[in-house]
Amino acid sequence: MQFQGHNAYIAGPGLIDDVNAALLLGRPLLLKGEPGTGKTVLAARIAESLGMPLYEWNVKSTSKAQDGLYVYDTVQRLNDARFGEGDVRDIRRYIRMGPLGLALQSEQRVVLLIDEIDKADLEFPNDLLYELDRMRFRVTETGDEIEARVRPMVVVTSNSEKELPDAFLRRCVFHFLAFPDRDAMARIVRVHFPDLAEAMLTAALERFYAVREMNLRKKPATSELIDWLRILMHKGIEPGDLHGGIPNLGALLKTSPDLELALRQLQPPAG
Amino acid sequence: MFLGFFFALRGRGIAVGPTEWLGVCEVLRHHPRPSLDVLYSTARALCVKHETLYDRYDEAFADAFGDAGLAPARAATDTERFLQGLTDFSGDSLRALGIELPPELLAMLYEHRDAVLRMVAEAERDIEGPIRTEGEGGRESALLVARKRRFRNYRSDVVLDTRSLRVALGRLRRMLPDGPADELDLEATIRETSRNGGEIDLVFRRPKRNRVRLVLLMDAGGTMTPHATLVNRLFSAVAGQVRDLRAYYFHNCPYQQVYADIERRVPVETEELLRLGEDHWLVAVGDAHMNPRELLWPKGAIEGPANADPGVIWLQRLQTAFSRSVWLNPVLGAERLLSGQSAQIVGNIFAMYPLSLDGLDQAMRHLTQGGRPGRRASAA
Repeated sequence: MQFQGHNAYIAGPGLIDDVNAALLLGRPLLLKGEPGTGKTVLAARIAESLGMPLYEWNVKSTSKAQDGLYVYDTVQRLNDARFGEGDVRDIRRYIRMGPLGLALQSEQRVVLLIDEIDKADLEFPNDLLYELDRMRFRVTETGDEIEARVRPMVVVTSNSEKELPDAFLRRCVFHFLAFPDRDAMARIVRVHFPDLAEAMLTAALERFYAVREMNLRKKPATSELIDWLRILMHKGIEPGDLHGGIPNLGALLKTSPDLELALRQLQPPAG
Repeated sequence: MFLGFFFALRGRGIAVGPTEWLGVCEVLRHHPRPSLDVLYSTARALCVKHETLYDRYDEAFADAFGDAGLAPARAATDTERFLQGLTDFSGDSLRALGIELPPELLAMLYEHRDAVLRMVAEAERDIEGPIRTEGEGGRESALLVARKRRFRNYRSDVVLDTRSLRVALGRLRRMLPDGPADELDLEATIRETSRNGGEIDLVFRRPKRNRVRLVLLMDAGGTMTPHATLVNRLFSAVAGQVRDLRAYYFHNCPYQQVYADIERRVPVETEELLRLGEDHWLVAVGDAHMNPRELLWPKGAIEGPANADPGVIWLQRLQTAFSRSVWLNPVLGAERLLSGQSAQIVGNIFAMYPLSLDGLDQAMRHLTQGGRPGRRASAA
């Protein structure tokens, strides 16, 4: 099985090879890079182009590794026992599979996205080592052994809010999504807006990279650029309009200090 | 040739084991069109697990596979090796380069070692720009990519963006139960419920939160102006990370007054700061590049009210008052860190680390592990 790329996703150099290496070795693909460089989207594109279902696990700061496998709903069972509802003797009724559990149970090969793994506690990736390595786990409450028939393609994304443990890294195929340069970005934009005028694209990219050059707390990335262009196109803005100020700057910059800084540096003096 | 590459990676501090290497071979064997490009990306994905190491990987790749066109880069490494050799006063490193120095000269170098170290550090800084140019031409595009060394800026000893700062500061954690009891304690609930004969008895506990409180004390003096952005980033990275954060500023050296704002218009008594020492940790940021008289003389302050006690006394008081403290120095590079007389004095009072990612990491470790006194060879 080979990933050949996707016509709605412009892959940087080596990315397709790395996806295929992960597929071949059955190891998780770890994607890192600035927010908004298309880490999450890639998982969906892989699933689409290989015709596999996609399971998403959006990790939060409170997420536990166990939640991804299954949750044993004790409170519900307790409640049912108290009020005499349902068959409380059947413990399986209270076992709910998480995304990783579902992916391992699946009959066919699936893509499992573990999104923003660095959001969780520092120990979170370590707790998943065994399951991701062996692709199997045991439901302690029932003694059921669940083992993947085919290893799912696991895509892990990280914003490097926290460093990931070495033992976890060792088992991954790692790819760092560098921020696209102007040419690559032009191709990415083309995929989203095939009929955007050339002059408009050049002018918009010019302004966009100028904004990125500034000393900002959060630099706008690809997804912000796409949003911004969508607004510009909707409003029917002409390339010439971009030379003065930047319309709808709020679509690119999301914090008020950044906005103030950009307004000071980019907008022409009033009057 | 491939094995040479493997050892070149190891030689550059990229921890490649046989497992990684077998993985690379496996992928190459199954690849429909194996090429140097495929090797480049595959080996990188499997052996390098952090973008800060991409640059070293590129160097190793260019070393192993590009013998043509790399002459300029080699010239640089030779120069650097020579400079490094100068700082090894036994003469062995230079002998390895084919340079034999007479023993008298070696003895002389050793005698003036401080000056030699300083000169070498300066020379290294100077050659960093012009000599390390990229080679022209090349046969394979992977080699071109490797030579361009696009990831130079991700090296951990160079770059310090807010995000990487936040990662390093992530060490600043001391999780203790805090706040109202609003987290369901399932184990205890089940226990109490069974004890209660099935009547549900919910038990709540206090969630654990980060209890670290910080005082950030920053130099806002003239020599610090080039580092202002860096300090600014540090500040924004710390905000929201800890339970309590207070920032104060000083000009070159703290005396009986520090300031609550960077323009130094709102004075705060340092005594007040000292009282925070009981439950706060102190992170001071400054280049410690003050004139020795600002540090050592009564009335040495160059602005504000005349100080009765010399700055060094105030520094000592701060260090004593805070149970844990650390000094971050934005003047990068370990060898230049303590080159000035003032920096040496300050480094004797506070544990001093360079304000680089590595330095910050060590500093945070120092804080969480007790963060006691100075008098250490910093960032050796």
